[in-house]
Amino acid sequence: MKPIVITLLFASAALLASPAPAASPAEAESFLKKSVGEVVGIAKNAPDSATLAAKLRPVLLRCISFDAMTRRAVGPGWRLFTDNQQSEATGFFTTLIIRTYSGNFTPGELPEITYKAAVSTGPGRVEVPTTTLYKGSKYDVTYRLEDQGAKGWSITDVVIEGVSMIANYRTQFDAQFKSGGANAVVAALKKSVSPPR
Amino acid sequence: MKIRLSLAEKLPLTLWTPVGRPLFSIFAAVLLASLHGGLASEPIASGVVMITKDGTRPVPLVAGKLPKNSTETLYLESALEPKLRRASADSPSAGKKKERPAAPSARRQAAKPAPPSKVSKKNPVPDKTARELPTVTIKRKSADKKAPDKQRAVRNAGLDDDLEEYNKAGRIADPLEPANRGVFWVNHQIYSYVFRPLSKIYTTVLPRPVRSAVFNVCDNVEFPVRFVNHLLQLKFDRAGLETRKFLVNSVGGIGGLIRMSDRTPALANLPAADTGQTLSKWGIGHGPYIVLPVLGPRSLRDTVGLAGDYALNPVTWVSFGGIGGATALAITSPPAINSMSTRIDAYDAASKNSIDRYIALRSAYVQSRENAVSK
Repeated sequence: MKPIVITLLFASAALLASPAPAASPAEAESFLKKSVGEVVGIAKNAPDSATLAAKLRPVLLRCISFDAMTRRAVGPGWRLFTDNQQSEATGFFTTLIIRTYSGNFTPGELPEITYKAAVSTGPGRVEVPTTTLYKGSKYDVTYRLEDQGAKGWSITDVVIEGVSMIANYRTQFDAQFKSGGANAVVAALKKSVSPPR
Repeated sequence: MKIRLSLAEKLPLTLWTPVGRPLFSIFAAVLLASLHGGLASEPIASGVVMITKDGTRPVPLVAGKLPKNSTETLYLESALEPKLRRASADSPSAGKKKERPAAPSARRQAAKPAPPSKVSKKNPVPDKTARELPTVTIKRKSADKKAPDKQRAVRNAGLDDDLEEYNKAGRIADPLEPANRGVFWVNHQIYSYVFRPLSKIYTTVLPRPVRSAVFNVCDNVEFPVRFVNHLLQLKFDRAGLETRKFLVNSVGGIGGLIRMSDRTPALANLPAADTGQTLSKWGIGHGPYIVLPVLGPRSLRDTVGLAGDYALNPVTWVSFGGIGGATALAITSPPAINSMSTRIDAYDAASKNSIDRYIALRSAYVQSRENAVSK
């Protein structure tokens, strides 16, 4: 009898300890629709670009994983960053991404977005392809999302016409890192977000 | 009326312009000469390392050269050393000894016994300077380096896939980088001070529907470029759909003014095809990266492809068909001016908020072309 009780105890402990069932691509798609809807709503009412960027910041901080984005944009050199350099780089890169993303919108001009079915690209990873009609031109925009556990889904990359935002920054950071290590990357980021451009 | 342009199509300016043709011929000659020199005299790097989860690892040279076909990202050791020094200094165990780690050449010397000093032979008085200097003990895996390495390893545990994920995206050989950067700078000035104002006037004077109509006509006329390249890629079904699209737009869309094909799902999102894509499908790689004057970023393969597209374009046939300069200008100018505004927008989107504008454009170009080829 005793071994059965022990087995049952272990089994129940294992069940309790097991992670929650993996989130589905459909959930990622609905998260994305909600987030993009929120962004478009802000873009619709923003009087100018500066207000738009300021209002978008809290929304983007909530739905984008800037930690993952910065890590991947820096690449293997990230291992040689100190804690302080990592946190500085993440802060500057967050500002840069928000500026880039909000710069794509002209206040008052709204995109027409058609969502296609989400595609699972790995455990906890989903891509949601969309077609965006904006200012008379049609673009293929794919959002890459990841299940961040307790935090839920987060956007980790935006691919416009096959051009990944993270891959693009990665090639730029590689050159900086090769020339002067982590300090050069942080300095370049700081310079790019410092002056109003 | 909807417009569809890939980023690669929007970035460079077209060869249709009468200015573009002679520029292209001159540049091709200069390119071949400089390419020959650039490839022949490439320096061999030394002191190269790769970053692993345990720290850096030197890359061994094979017959004095870096290993071929390596998929790792390599770094100059000298660029990483300042960082490693700081990491060691930051560690708690490094507080007692703050000596600077020596350069690689000094390390090699430290391993050898010191040669007898000529000064000490002549002067029996002990060398004060030598006594005051701290004793430098250099070991690759010394105790004071292990601590930050371990901390980093713990902090970065499980990030391997994360950090390697974008290792290959947007890469292309760029042996002509210094020359390319020069041409890129000139192009940037032309875009900023000539094309941008012209584009602004054009978009102010002509409303969006008119601009769309002009674009649609030009796009429709380019049908042979897409049709022939679909055939050369053995995509016969797409060649058939392209023909259908051309007929629908030419007849139903009044000579292509209206893009009637967008109302049919099978024709609405038909991927474009060009000679560069065809060469890629035939197994030809990018070759070196080139920034063409005025036309912008290209790979060597796509530069050759550009000549093919040019030959297949009916606008070229007309402009070489014995017509006068004014008529040729009237035919070739609308598509060039019309696409200018879209291309300026794409250029801004790719380069604005960049860390290095040149690299941002290069990466965007390569990714965009790879995306076009994969469709």
